[in-house]
Amino acid sequence: MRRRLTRAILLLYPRRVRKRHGLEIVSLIDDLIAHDKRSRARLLIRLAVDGLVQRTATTTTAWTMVAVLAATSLAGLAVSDFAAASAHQDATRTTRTLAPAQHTHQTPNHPPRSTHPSRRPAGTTARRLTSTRFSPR
Amino acid sequence: MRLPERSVLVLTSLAGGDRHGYALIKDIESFSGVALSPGTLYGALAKLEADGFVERLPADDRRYPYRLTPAGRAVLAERLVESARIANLGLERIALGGT
Repeated sequence: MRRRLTRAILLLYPRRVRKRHGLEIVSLIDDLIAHDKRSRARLLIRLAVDGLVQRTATTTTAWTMVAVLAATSLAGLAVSDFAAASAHQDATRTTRTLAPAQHTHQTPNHPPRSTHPSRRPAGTTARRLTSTRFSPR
Repeated sequence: MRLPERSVLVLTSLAGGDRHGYALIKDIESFSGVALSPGTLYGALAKLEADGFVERLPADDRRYPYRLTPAGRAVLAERLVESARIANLGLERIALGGT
């Protein structure tokens, strides 16, 4: 019964310590009680506290790793979101530049298509820019 | 590598010869006055064994003796030299400080 209690307390320990040294710990507690007349209750309480401390240390390491993984994933998502937003913005800007060339309707308030710079077909602008840039005459 | 204090105590005890858990606890208590609990002792031994500083010998009546490895001896020597340097420095400063 007493050994069963000791073994139950050993469940608090990390698996590595429990599997490798569990039986030795039980034997050592028996030795300390037999030879040193130490109190079993005190030994078991201390055993439980040590187990919790060791378990917490291990869990802390695990949680640190989880936190690092989560932070890295979030950072990756943020970067990809930013890249997607930039791409969308570029696409919108391009559409705005090209849109007047595609819409041919005119409203009464707008000047005639040929005179409004933004309403010129893209080809016209391109030709003009080309001629300005490469044929300065 | 920074060894925890309890690991230094265990390695120092094993530097005097192979010992099992109970002998380790008694030896450490005798030279340092520190009473390690079974959980603390085996937690330290598990770490030292994983690091290759101690090795477990075949069982002798349910008890496994432990032995210091050459790597353990080297790391203990390094740590004790560092401790001695700090202790000497402290003692010199106390002596210079007077009164």
